[in-house]
Amino acid sequence: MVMAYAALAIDEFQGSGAGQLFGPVAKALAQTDARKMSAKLAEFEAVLRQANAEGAMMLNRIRSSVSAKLNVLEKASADGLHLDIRSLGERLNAVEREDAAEIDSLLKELGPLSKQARQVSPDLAHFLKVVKEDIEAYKEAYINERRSVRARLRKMEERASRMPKDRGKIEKATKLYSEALSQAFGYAKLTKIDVQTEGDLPVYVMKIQVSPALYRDAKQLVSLERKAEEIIESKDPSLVGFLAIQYEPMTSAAT
Amino acid sequence: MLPRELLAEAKEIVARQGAGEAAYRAATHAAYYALYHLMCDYFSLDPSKRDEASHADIMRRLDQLDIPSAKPHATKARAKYRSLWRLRRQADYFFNDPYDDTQAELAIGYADDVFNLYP
Repeated sequence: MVMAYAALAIDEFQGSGAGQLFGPVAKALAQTDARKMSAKLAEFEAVLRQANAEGAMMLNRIRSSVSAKLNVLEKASADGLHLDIRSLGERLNAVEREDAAEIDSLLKELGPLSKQARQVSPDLAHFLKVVKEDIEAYKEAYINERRSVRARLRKMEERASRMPKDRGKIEKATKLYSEALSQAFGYAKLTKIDVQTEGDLPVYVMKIQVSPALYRDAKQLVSLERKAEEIIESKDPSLVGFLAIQYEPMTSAAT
Repeated sequence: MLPRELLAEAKEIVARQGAGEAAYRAATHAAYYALYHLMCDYFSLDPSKRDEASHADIMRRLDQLDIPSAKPHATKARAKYRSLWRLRRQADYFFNDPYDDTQAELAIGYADDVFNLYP
């Protein structure tokens, strides 16, 4: 689940929005008669100002949203959760290629207009230069955001590769909880760890299948869990409460 | 109002005649927030300030608890918090998944374990 969550961070970069932001400026220019362009300059400038303001807001929103998701991923990775970080980098590459194509086509669209503008007025030619510079600046800012994500993914991968196998907190907790719960419950069947998130904190959930009769007995579950806690406490107090527990009724196929 | 009163309300909701899924979800919510407010009080956090008293903040503080000097109910809360948080999340957000009395009673049992150690 945490990988799907991290993929969302990468997908935030999907479609830089350059076309949506600066497209109206290019469209307004393309649809205006060359002789009337100078008169409409103030109008074009207002559209460009709006595009720049919206672009800045969009980058801020993406920055904070992506950063929050990467915080969760970094914590999960530091806890020893095995993550396919490389696949996130590949996903980012694909997104980057799409965006580059969108921005290039936008700049291409402005090419013939620049030629026309030079013949009409120096002010208009200057304005078109500013539009191109603003698009380039937006593109650069967008690339920088992705660059910082890439750097964080790389660091995460390096740290994960240095961590000895089976030494992460999750591995230790899973092993200890499994032992303690099996001992307390006698026959509990443990399934794999699920990762949920609360703010920027990953929360690991251990699912345990118990008999249907025990599943219906909350008091007994709480009492047995208390015993398991004592076992965990005696072996490694730092892991008490590290995993959330979720009970499920054992199906007949699983018994 | 005291957090303990919220837990008492959770118990009453479940015990009410004809209590159904909505009651079980509401009771779980109340049991969790009883514990949440108890912990906010323990850590001197203002629950109305989301940036300092988020659910994640409470979990982080419980993880960093100095066990030898911590009060027994806080130590117990450390053991129960995430499991109760998960139940509350299930009760509050996942309406397509069934939610029964056992889950509500489990939530109340977790909170009870903490409040039983609270003077």
